[in-house]
Amino acid sequence: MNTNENKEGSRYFIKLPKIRSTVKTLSFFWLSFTFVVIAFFLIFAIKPTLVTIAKLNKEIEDKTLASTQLQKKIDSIVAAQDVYAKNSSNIYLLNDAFPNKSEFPKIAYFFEQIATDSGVNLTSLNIEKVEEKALPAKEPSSLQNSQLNFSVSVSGDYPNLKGFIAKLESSRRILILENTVFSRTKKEESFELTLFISGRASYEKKF
Amino acid sequence: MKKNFSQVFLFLAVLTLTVTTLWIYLSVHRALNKSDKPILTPQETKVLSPILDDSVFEELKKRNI
Repeated sequence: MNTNENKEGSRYFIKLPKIRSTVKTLSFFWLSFTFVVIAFFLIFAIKPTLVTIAKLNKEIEDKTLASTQLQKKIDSIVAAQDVYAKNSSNIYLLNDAFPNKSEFPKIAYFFEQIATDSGVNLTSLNIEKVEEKALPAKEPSSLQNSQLNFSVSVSGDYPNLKGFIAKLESSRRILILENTVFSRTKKEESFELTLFISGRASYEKKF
Repeated sequence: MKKNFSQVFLFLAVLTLTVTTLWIYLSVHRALNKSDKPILTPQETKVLSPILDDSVFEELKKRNI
């Protein structure tokens, strides 16, 4: 009975070849196993550690560089503070030359004053503010300026007009003269010399 | 040439180890050279020049108006 059952059951089994447990086979197995274990630890333990070390080293390097750059900037700011303290009594001169507001009444008063001083008649004065688009914040510009366009017309003798131009050129505020036109017009029985000047004045723009 | 199972397994293990080593090397190399966004903006790193030309003041003082 048992013999018959064994015979029937044997067809469900495959006879595997016998693995020889020789020394060579065992050596190959252990060597391969060692390599696999090393690879496993390399992937899951060594690699994250090494990558973290590399990232931290890179971060330290970057931050050291940033620190050096900032230190350089701090040194320059300290030096600039010294220079500012030394020249603080003269800063008003810079504000006069390049004000932080348009201050067009001062310009108008200035033209009027030099016209009186030079002995010429101020016949017309136009001041026009020029709006400028703000530069993108990415651009590190040192000074952004806005402008006032002006045109002035005066009449008088030639020496007086020449004196007017000389006084205009000696203005403390920075004025850029773009056009200077002399013209002669007949007035009653004499000729009148007219001077037309156009230019622009800059001031610091605050965004 | 017929290789037995042990030799194939050893070959695969060595290949795995080699690929893993190479992968780690490349990962570390990438981590060392990968630059994220800079810590400081160009505006922050811009150094101001503290040099001031004193003659400008003298020139401006001469201009009375």
